Amino acid sequence: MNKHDVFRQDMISAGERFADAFSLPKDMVVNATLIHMIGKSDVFVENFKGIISYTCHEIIVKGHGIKFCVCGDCLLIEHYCNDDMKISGQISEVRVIREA
Amino acid sequence: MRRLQNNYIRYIKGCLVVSLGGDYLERFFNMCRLHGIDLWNIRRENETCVCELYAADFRRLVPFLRKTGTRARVVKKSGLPFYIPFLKKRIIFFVGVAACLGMLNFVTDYVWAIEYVGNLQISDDELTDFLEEEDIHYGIKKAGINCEEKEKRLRERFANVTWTSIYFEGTKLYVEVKENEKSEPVTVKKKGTDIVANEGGVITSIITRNGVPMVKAGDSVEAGDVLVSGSVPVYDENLLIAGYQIYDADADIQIRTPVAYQDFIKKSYPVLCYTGNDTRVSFLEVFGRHFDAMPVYDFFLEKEHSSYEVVTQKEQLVLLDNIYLPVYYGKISKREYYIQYMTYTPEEMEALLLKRFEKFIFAFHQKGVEIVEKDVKIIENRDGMEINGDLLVIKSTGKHVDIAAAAKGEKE
Repeated sequence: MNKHDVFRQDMISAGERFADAFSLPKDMVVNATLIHMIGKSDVFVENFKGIISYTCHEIIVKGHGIKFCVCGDCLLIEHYCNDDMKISGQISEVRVIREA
Repeated sequence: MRRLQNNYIRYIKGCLVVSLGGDYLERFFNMCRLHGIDLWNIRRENETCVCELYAADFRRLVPFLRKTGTRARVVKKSGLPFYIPFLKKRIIFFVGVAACLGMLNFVTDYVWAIEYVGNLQISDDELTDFLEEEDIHYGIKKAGINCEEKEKRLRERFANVTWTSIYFEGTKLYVEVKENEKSEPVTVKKKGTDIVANEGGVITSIITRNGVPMVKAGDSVEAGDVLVSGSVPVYDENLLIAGYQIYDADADIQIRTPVAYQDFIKKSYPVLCYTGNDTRVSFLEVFGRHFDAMPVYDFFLEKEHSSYEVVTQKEQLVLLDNIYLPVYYGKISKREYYIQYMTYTPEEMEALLLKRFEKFIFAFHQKGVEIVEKDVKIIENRDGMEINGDLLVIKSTGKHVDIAAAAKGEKE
């Protein structure tokens, strides 16, 4: 871990502490990706950067400094716009892939 | 929120189903997103992807397609913008439909039929007269009728109406009444009546139930003579008349009286002969204006015979059983005829006259009139044949007249 990464990690931690202290939404303060899951068939993703990969069984979404992998069958992007996206299908797993 | 853009908004704006093929589809989607192009229902189909987008956004895709090497093919177009050319081609049809609906809306604001329900003692004509007095007629605006007020007026006008309801169903006005079945017509108490003879003759029998008989069997009477008096004298101890008690005279009186019968038949009689030139045309009547093709027929056909028998079948246009429209339709059939005069033979004339006379006798039998004598003569003359009969019959007689009127008649 170089100096830059350490600084960045510290900043995120500071942001989280700030959000906790003032009861602010953490996703806004640290610019984190927000994922809502409804049951096992729908996932709402907000504040993301884009899609990295899309197949019927796997959708990889790029967030800020992190990736999410939604696995399952018959995956469909119900809507895809600037603010959010909705993935539906038989979701079996939502995995977080930390960027090195 | 964009998420709230439902199918209706998509239909109004118009959308395309596009099949996309290429190696960098994810990059293409991301570029669309960054440039504010909404995509939905993105799904993988083997090597390609199918997605939906607004029709207006399709042209904006071109640089991104070129940049990412993606091939796009429109699979389906849907929504209002793609339907407008279809509408433009059939504009007259849609204008017609709109005009029809507008006309229907206009017409249903008025009353085009009236029906009376439940009236037994009060006739339809009386109710029609009442409605006309209240200014309710065909073609009146429904909004102008205050049903509650008219119901009240109806109850006031007809004393035997216990309940009434005036209401609309479609364009039909229903006037529903319930009458008091137990009530009897108000009878004015009579001041007493006499029975007087209807015709002159000889009384054959008299059975008095009420009143004082003024004649007995075998007496000759003239028309208007009092047969039974309703004034019953009351005698005092000295057998002098102290006063009169007034009753309605009641009696069965039989009288033997002559009846004259006369009938005549002309030798020649008219017969309608149809030429076979029948004309049948349909007609239409809208708002009281009559349209048919009969004048055109009259113009082109020869008019040798100007007499016609006209039969009109007329029906009112009804929508959904209740909406009566001011439109009538039907058929007019005109049968051309001419009158030909035929001549009866003496035997035919005699048979006809006797047949009529037998009918006359049969009617007497039906009324319970006994025929004692009959003397019938048939005379043939230049114009035809006549029958003269002198009958002597025994029949019931007597009609009720007020005592005052009878006394006045007697005085005169």
